[in-house]
Amino acid sequence: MEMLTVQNLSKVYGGKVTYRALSDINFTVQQGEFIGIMGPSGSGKTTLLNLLSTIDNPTSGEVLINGKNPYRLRKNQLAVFRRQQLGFVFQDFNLLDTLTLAENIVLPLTLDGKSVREMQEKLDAIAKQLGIHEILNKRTYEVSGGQRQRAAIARALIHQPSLLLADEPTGALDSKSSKGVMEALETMNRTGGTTTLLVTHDPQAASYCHRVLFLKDGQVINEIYRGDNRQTFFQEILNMLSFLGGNAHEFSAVRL
Amino acid sequence: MNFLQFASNNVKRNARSYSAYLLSSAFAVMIFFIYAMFYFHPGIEDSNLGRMAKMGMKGAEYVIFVVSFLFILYSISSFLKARKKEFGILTILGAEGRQINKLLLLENMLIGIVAIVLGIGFGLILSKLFLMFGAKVIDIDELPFYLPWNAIILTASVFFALFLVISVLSVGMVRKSKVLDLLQGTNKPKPEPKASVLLSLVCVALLGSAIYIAQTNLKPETLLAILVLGLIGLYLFYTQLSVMIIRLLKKNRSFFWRGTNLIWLSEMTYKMKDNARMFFLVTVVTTMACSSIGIVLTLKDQNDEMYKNDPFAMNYRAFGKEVADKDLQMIESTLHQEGIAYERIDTDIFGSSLKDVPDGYAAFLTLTDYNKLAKALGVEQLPAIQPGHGVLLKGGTNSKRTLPDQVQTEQGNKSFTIEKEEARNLRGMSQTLVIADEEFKALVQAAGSESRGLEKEIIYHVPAWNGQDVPDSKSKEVIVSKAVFNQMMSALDNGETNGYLSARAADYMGLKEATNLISFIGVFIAAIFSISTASFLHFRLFTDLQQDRVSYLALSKIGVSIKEMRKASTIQIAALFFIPLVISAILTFVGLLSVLSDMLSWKAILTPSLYGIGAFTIAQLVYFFFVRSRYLSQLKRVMV
Repeated sequence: MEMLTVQNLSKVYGGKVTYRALSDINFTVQQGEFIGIMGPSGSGKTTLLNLLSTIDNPTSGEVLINGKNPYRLRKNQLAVFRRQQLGFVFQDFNLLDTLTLAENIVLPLTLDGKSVREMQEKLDAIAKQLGIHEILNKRTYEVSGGQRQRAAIARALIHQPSLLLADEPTGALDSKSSKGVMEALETMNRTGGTTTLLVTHDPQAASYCHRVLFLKDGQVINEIYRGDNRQTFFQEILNMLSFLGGNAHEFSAVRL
Repeated sequence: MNFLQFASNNVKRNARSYSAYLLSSAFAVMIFFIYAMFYFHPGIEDSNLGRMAKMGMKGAEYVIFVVSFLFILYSISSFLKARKKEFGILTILGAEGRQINKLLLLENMLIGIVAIVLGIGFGLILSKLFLMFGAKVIDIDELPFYLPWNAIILTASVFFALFLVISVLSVGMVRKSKVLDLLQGTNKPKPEPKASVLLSLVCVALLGSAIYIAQTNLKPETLLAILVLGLIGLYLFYTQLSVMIIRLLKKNRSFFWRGTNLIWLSEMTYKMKDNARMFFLVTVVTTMACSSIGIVLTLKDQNDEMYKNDPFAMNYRAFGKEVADKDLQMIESTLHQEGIAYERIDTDIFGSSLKDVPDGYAAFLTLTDYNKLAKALGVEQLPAIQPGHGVLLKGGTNSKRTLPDQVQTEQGNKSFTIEKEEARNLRGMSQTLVIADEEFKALVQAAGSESRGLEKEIIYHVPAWNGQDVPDSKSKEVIVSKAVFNQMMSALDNGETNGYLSARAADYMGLKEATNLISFIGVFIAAIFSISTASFLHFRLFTDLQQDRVSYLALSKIGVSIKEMRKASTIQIAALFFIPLVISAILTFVGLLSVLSDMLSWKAILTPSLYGIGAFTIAQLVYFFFVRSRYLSQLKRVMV
């Protein structure tokens, strides 16, 4: 079943000098798939993600999430759609400092008016899976970046969204924490069947995906599938990136 | 870009945060200037009330100065907190401490000078209006406009000094912090505010005992105790108890974990603790203002009441046994000249303090005299009164009865049982016992002939002045009464008489003019309080705006709708605006009740205090909607 369908999607930024950020993008994501999107700076990754996350409107083309077109919704309905159908993981976590981790995680459910018992059950279940159940009552500044990101993943998934959108989730983390976060995403994808779309610069992170799409100058120019071996997939991604001629600083410093 | 340009750009580009602060400073300068102009006006000494006004204005100037000082100091310090990071960056870039000081000094003085110029400018524009209004209040035909150099110089120098002192103080606030702290600035997450259970209990105990003492007898020393207990209790309420209450609310998950409650309630703990001192200050100031309004309005009400409850136009009291015929002739001839029909009733009054009643005093009147008065007014006369009994004439409908059923006089040592009360008092506001004629004679005899208790009271009844509605200053009653009253007063001053005339209309107008004057001065001070309060709050909100934007952007992405954002932030803004107001409303009412309840029933106090609180509430509501719409439109921009 197709969870996400992108058809002829284009985005043009108006103004004195019009700029075509995305042109004619087409792809689909199946339910339970873990897909990565890579590309050099200015390739349109963020624009694409903003369109998928309904934060921005496309100039032309369509996005169907779980068969629904979110752009047809009014603003308040859209908010409800986002909190029920989508889950977000951000580079800078976006957890609220005034709340404990547990409170941050249950926030989407409280907004939907779920019962306390249900929230507590879901919270316990997902915190165990992500290995953060012991720090649930800590505040955001009392835990490490990796733990914060795992809490953010828990928040993104507690309401069982149709699609998880992760925007550079490892961008602000060291390599060890990155590994933990990516493994967490992979586990949630494998065991929970969460359809996940990951935008990243980091080839190491991208190598956890089933498939990686490459963007350049607003167009999808290639996609590669992962075989059985993550190591080989990682090498292929690196090759692809150097073929695309991304800037040198975007490569991971470590070559395996 | 030189240094001055840098400083002025900082101010210009922070215009949104500075605007409310600048305007309210300018407003304070303006009021200060207008009062000074009034104070220095050459025409003000011409009237009696004008001299009183001058004193009042002087007091008001001090109040304005102190409030402005606190307000500006507080605004600057909270603004500097929000700009910590900026100073950190400047330091890292190699700015010397001296340069940062200079920057702050320049910025503050820039705002200060603009505020002074604006304030004086608007003051000059509005001064004609104010002088017209003021002249009316202090009963002078006209106060001509003049160019008040004295007032301009005084205002400019006082506020220049104020801004200078505050600039120097603000420099001290930044210098203390380390670069690292500065750089982390407000981004550093704060630990959750803690409240101590012990202090919360202490707070409840203090407030409880203050209220308890207020309900019992009031003496100057207990009043001081109530004030001290109340203030400490109030401070603890904001710093401890309120945080405690929110923490308890947060423990209740079925409430806390519902919708936007999670968002605003958790923010609230921080906001309460951060703003505790401001809340405290605002509450104290508002309570003082509301109480003053309440007291002035109660006085006004009582004045009306007193007029309406006094059925007779004038009464003349001759101290001692001699009736000053000359005075009475003067009064009667004046009334004749004006062509006013009157009836003269001669009565005897015996006044004595009472045993076993604290501050107890009653006047005694014979039944015959009472019936003479009743006949003149055409009201029902009293039947015969048993010896040893008396009928109490209560002073006014709102007054409380303070006498027990059995009273004993200090002079003459006679006791009377009060058998019934008459609500309509024929003798104004003083509590009077009507007793049988023989009893009265016996009482006077027992007191001895040397006693000063016995007085002749000559009462004039003017049927044309029915006393149903309060008179205005143009009415015949006021003009005639004032003329007679002034003649009597000058005779008294010259030692030509020892009698005392009281004319209800003259008393009424005298008090009315005084309360008008107080209101006139007070209204502007209350306006300064209210505007400074709103400006404090505006300032607080907009220093937090940046942080709120970041968190609402994040919330918006995970699906918080605009409607929910509006709800959560409206609750937060409303809490900032109305928590202090509700608390001061309660305090005002409790305070006025305990001060005035000895004399008046609670109903008579409720209305005036509601007016005071109501005026503040309306003003706060206007600011609230204004600030809320600006704030929400700012937040709405980040919502996706």
